[in-house]
Amino acid sequence: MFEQIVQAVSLFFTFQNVLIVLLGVLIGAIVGAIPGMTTPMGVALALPFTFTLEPVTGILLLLGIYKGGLYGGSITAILIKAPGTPAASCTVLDGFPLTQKGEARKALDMALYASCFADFISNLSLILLAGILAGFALKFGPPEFFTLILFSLTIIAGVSGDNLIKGIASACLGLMFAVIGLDMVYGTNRFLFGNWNLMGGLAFIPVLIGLFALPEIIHFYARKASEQFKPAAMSGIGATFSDFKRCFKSILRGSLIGVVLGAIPGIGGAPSAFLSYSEARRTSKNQDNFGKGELEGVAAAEAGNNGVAGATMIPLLALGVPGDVITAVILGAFMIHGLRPGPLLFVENLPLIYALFIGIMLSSAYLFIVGKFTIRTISRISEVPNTILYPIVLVFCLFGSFAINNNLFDVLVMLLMGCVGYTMLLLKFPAPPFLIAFILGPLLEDNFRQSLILSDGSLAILLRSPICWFFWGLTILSVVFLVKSRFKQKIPLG
Amino acid sequence: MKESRLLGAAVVAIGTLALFVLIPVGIVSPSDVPALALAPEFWPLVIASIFTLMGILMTIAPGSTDRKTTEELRLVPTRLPRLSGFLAILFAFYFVVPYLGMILPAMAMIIGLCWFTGERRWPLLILVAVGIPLILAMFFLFVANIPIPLGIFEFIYS
Repeated sequence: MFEQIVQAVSLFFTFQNVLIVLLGVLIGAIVGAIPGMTTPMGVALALPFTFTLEPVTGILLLLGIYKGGLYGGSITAILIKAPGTPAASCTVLDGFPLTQKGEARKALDMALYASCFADFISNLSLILLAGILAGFALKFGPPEFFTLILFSLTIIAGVSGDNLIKGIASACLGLMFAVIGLDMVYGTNRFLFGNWNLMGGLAFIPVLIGLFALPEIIHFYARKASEQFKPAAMSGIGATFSDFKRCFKSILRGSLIGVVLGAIPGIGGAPSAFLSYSEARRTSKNQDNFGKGELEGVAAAEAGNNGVAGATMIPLLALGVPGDVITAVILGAFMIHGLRPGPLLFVENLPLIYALFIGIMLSSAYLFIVGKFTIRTISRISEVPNTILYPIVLVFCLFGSFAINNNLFDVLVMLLMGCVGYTMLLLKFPAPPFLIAFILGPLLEDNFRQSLILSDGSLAILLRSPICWFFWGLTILSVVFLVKSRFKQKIPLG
Repeated sequence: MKESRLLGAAVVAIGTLALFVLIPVGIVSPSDVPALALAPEFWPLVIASIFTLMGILMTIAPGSTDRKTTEELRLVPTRLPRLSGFLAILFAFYFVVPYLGMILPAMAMIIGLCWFTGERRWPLLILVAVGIPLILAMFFLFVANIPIPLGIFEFIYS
């Protein structure tokens, strides 16, 4: 154990790694602060630049962007009422009224303090829990993994927005696109139609960029260019220690809510932020001030939002199952670097895991530094007009897609996936279920077929152990809970 | 409501096409598969069936949320020329790369797209159009060792 920690320290503490986490957080905060750019978009665009980096360095860059993006989303939420991420939409409720009252700086400071604290708690939970969960998962064979991944596919419900049926249809499309290539058992062709570029299947990065970056750009050019938001001035004085102390209970509660909800695949930051906010409101002395510019509201929302950041990595690292769409992208990054997250990674590559933990903890500190010292500049970057920004992003998409295999065919895949993504955007088919299914699909099929090979074709193997039963139970429970809650809230399934 | 039904019908049509045409034609299956569930086409058949079922559900129970579709997210006919123009530029990029490399078309594309959206600050525009593709190409060539097609900028590498 001690030896592995020493190895991890030497693996992490290079000038490049220490700098790359800072760079990631900075890029993420900038991306999050630009209206029209999203964190998955930022992570997708950065992915091709990690190919030549060491696995730890590349993954830490993406994790830095993830964490920076979560915080960056709150900057525009507070200053211009345009949340950079869905989770930051809760921050708008009190953040923007504070800006209107001339207390933008206080709101931004509190968002930063709550974000950093919640991020730290979340990272701590990741370090403490991931190993335990991975140890348990070592007992898994193909049938157990099949049931686990099946359960994980219920994430789709969480990322489908208001329309579950369209979410499931979108996931089916993702699963179908994942099937393209050579069959993994018999080596026969699936949907190649004579195009040998498709033999290895569709590359992950062109699909990712096509789905998450290109539709926004196509949409921008298809409509008339909208006016650029002008951020409000960073008025007022900053938050004080007594402000932080007053909000501490809500920050701590929000952080824990974030940890619990983040560790459950598919829930993500937005529900956590809203739950934390509503709990803070319920227990606050200033209940009536919520929604009108209450600092505690900003603190609770940001704590709930950032509390998920480390926790979503728990199922990813321990089980190889992404907790949300960004961790799904990070799972893809692991695979590109030849690593497979899950229990075996803890056995075979523990120093790498520890090195990631060190980097993740460092990212909390960097988040504070970036937020404290660069916020004025970052808030000005959001003024960059989309007329300049989008052509640049587009060129990044094209070069990045080419770079994955030095193959122009991947550029074509990216462009076509962009058209698919834009069509889905217009028809209100959510894209995250597509991506999650595209990533999990091959794992699901692989484990399903391996199980059947083990059992000579008998489906009974899928019920062979208590673990299988446990995941079947969870899957059924989550589907029942989902349908029930949709009926209760009168949200139509389709 | 009507739109949602039409969309559902389209989903059913695509699912049916996959079930009866794309899967039988596009998937090669060996003759000695011991169990149906192990066959290469089993998984795609399951997926296509669920997709078709979702289409049926969309047709018989169209979602009320679709009524909220805003003008912002509709493909109104007046947007079609802009959309077609933009897509033409994108695919033109793909087709000219084998002849011109990636840098020059990227520069032209940045200038074209900025101009398209009314950007007329020429010094800034030229700086961005020349600088970004060159910096990216340099990164991929010299840092990542990825041979980006350079076209007329081949001299950079030599």
